[in-house]
Amino acid sequence: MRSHLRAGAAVLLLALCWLAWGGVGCRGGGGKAEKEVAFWSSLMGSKEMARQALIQDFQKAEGITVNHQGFFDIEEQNKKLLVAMAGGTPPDVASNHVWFLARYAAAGQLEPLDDLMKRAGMSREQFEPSLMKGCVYDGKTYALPVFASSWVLYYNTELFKKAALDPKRPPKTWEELEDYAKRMTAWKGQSIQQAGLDVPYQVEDTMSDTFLTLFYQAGGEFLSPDGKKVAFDGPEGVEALQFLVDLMRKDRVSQIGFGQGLDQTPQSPFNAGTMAMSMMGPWGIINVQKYSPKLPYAVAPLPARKRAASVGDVFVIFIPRAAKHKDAAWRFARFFLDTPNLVKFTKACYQIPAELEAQKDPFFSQDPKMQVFIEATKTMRVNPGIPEQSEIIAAVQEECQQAIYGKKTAGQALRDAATAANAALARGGSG
Amino acid sequence: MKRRLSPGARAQAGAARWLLAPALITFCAFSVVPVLMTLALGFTRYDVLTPPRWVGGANYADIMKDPTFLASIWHTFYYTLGTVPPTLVLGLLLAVALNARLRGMIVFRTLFYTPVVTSVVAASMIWMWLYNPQFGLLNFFLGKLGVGPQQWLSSPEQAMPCLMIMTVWKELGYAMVIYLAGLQGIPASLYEAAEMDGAAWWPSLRNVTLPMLRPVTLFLLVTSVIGSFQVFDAIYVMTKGGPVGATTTVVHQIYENGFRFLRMGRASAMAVVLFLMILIVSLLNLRVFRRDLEEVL
Repeated sequence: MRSHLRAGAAVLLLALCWLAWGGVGCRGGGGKAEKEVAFWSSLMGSKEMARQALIQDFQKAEGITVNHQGFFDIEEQNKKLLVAMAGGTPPDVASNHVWFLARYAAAGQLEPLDDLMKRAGMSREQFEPSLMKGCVYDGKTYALPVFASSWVLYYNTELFKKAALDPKRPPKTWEELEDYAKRMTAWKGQSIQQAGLDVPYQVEDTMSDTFLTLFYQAGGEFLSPDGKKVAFDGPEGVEALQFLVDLMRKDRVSQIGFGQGLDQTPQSPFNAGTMAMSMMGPWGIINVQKYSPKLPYAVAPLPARKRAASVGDVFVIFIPRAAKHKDAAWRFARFFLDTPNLVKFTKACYQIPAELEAQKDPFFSQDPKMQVFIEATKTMRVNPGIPEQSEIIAAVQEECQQAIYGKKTAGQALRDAATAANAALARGGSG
Repeated sequence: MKRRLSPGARAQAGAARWLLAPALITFCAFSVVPVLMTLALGFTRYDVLTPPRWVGGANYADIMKDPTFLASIWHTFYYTLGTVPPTLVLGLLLAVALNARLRGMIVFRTLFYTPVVTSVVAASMIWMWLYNPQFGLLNFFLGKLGVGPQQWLSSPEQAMPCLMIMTVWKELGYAMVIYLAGLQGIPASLYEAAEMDGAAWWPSLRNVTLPMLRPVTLFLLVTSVIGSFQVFDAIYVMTKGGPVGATTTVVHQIYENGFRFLRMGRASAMAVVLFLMILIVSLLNLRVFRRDLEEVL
């Protein structure tokens, strides 16, 4: 427990020194064809093998060496990237969650891609529009979507049968979802034995993603029409949060603390067969394959309210403005997004390609499970690209938790989150 | 008046400068400069990507009205009160017990010291399993005793005490080792004199051991309070400041504001407030123990 601040500052400075030094070391000769490209990504874990194969293919095809630096955590990568950008020594090309893009674009740290795309005969229309949306800032294209993890409903077919429910008829509305969840819940004394539905209770992305999914389904829009204020504290927001609060506190289809710390283990409730339904992205398939291959389950579109909607993760590729090897970087981005390469990559890690042509590959178009995910990307909502995103989402997570713990009413919690969010918007996201 | 140095002494002074330089340069680069920058950044708005803008005392006015930050100050004091006194008392008792020259003591010393050298993250992962509501050992044993399962880290009331217990377990060995060293410096003649006066275990502990250990206690108190004021890793790993903000501390708020929300100016102002808190508490400690300080120096 020594001085973390000092350690932090030291790490920051060290990183800057290292980057400055590394930057000098790898400066390319002017005019000559670029022989290397520095690529930063968070394509780790379940995506690691796919990424390695992609890089190998690229190196073989183009004769350009890829120096990859991987990050296990998207926030961690974001931090390192910010420091590198501030120091003028970013990587040549990077891939991360679309969330962080607006911040970089607003600070003028990204290379606009429109001209490069025109010359390469590429257009925004090649990509699923809902995924392309977050890549555009102030009318310019600053990134291209690579793949997405849309959310769907995973359900345990065995538990459906035990509760005399038809596994061929998953819930289609909120009322059905609530009813099914209640029927598949079992308690013993003060602790839940079997949860009907995964209800989030922790301050994490699942919390904001679940709330916003329901909020968008209820017909809400994230920002007011003039874009100056958030709008999630309106009636649609209250309806969505109240639904979650009721599921946890009134219907008691899950319990606070249930499954805590068990993500990506065989003991996680869905994998262990003690949770009937859960909203997840395609990573759920890999989890089941890896930790509970015998689990009888199916996927279905999320139940809808006024409209179908879900939030999910969108991974994008972009070139920092201060990149030293922009030509090689663009070649790498194009190679990654080239349909056969993208299909090979997304197949290997069960992600949904953002490019429409790639989605036509039989692996996606003929597998009923994958079709559910592809359908879901069409109604996928990406939160508006605003630099204050991290802070606003954090406020949403904190305040939703207050409501789910019963410390505040849904309305009060959302009003408090909106107050914090609007203050951040008014400041304009410059620290 | 300037002192004249002999040529030999001057050469030595020159060599000393060179020998000190590496340490001084790193100290300046990694401590002095960042500290000064923090002071300056506290008066700016700075998001890393665009140049800082001067805003005067706005950050300070803002954080002093921020209920989350004020709560984090309270949580930091609460955490310190819940960790430092138990660590010191238990550390002393362990040291006294282990100071008795019995067989196998080295085994116990090693056992109690192991958590100190364990990484906080690894220790936190183990404790998260112990505290797990479904599969944790704690709820398992409570169940055997007929007590219902507890929420532990998911409970706003229990989460902080859970963190405190882990910290005491982790830091105990350090206090124990320092106290042991202190105990070994107490002349045996004092205990013999106490014995001749008929003092039993407790009076001799109270009248001989404790007073003789005051400088050691001062050292431990100052360093542990500073350490617990800066608590972060365990919280980051185990609770992320939750649930419902019940375990967010000052350093956690600095991290959130600085690295998550990119509000470096605001985070710097918080760091300065933390610095002042530590300064005041350390001065208070030194004042209470002034007599011992004079002895030590």
